Amino acid sequence: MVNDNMTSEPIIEIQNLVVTFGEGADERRAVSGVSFAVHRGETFGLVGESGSGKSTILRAITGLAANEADVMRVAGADVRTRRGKDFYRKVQMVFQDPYEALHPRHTIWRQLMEPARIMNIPDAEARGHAALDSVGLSRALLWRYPHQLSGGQRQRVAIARALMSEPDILLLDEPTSALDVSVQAEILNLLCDLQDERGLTYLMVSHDLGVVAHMCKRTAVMHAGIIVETLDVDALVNGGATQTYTKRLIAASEAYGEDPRDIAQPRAS
Amino acid sequence: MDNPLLSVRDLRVSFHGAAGIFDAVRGVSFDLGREKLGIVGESGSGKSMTGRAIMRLSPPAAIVRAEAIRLGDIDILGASERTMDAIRGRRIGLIMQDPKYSLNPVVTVGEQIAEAYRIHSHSSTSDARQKATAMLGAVQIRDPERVYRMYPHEMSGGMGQRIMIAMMLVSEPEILIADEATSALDVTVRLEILNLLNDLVAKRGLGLIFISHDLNLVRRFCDRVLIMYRGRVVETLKAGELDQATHPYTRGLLEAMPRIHVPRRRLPVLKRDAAW
Repeated sequence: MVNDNMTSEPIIEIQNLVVTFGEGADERRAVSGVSFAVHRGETFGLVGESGSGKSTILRAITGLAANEADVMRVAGADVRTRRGKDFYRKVQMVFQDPYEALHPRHTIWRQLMEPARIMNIPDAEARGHAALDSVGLSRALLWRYPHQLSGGQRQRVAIARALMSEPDILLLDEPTSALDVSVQAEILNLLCDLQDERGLTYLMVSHDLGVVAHMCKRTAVMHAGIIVETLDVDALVNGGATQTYTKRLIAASEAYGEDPRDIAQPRAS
Repeated sequence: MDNPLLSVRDLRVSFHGAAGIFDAVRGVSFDLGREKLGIVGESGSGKSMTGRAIMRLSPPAAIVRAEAIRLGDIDILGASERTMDAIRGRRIGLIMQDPKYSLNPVVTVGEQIAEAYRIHSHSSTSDARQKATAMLGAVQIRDPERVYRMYPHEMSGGMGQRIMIAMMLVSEPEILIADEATSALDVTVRLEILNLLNDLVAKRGLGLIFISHDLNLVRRFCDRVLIMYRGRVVETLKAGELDQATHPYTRGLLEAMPRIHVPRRRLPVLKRDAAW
């Protein structure tokens, strides 16, 4: 959404990423030779159906899934082997289900302080308050537990926790698909605001074309562990897809998706 | 509506808990004909509780009251457990979100469909087997003979949901309740399942209650839509006329959805009114 300078060096650069699960006869390639680049300040989408490997890519970047790649540069560092604390300061992840991502028996304040302690963040308390403010959570919620919050509040806590290290990159794994549409709107607005304020780069996994069209400028379409094509979202939603699979995905999304009359008569917003 | 398949009047479902009484459903009324009736709402709106109450499958702690829930001549709330056994599965089928949790993991899917048929029709084992195999064909499963012998863990999500539909349709119910039946499916699979449901409603004259959180889906798929908010039906509309919704809640939901072809800088946020 912010000015993405396409001429600058990409902040995420991945070439020929391979992720394999299982061994011997059970070996299965979840991601087989994926390459893409994300520029600073951009929101880049990974779209596809379940099992296409889109979430696995995020897990591979953070080191949660063992992987091989010819190139994997994130925020200026080669991260193919070891990821130091510095990496996790710069790259944070927000998961689909905030209830599973938060510790059920830690207060909201402790959820924020824990990563600060692990990453030796000096001004943890000040940052904790600032993080809560920037996600729009009241300080009255500090001593509550996750089960005492609504789904949207929980996702705000997860985002606040990701902000504690003042990262450059957020990896967003279906961040709103577990939320109601009215809450989804709030969280998507929040993500856009944070990007404007902090110049964050988002790599966003989603199966929802509406969300991708709203958030992303470019997206990769994945199927069976490979990127079928990478294109501008404008082109994607306006019939610019060149691959059969992408066309099929769009057709299926639109069959019972947005009303085509919305397309013919765009309403002022 | 003349001769509705199902008639619900002033349905109320409440729970008595430590924090007092919680009203999950607060006076819902509607008639179901041979149509696709959508019930849309966000989490906690009472849409699933409404569906469960119709089958008398509410949680034990729930207190269910209604002026009437009538299936033909039968008063569901006053019916004996025996009568309900004959209604559940036989006259009203229920398909839930995730087939993984609805199918018995240690029985082949074919036998599960055959069992559903045998129980309701008191037919022979071989008849039931034949009927189940034919039903697998009817829900567009290729090679039904082979799939009959497969176990639930060998199914993809789409196949599992077809099995559930086959199991619910084998006893030829008049009403099918689909509770977020396609929400866990990928879009391409979802499309196939919806087309299948659409054909079945058209061919067999079923009444379908389609419970969903997805406004876009419901407005394209259903004939009529009830919009629920905090246990009440706030608005009833023809699905094609959802754009003309007047209730601020419905309008707010429609506005809050990202639109593929209408880029907006910010999404309008729903402002909830305590009076709704």
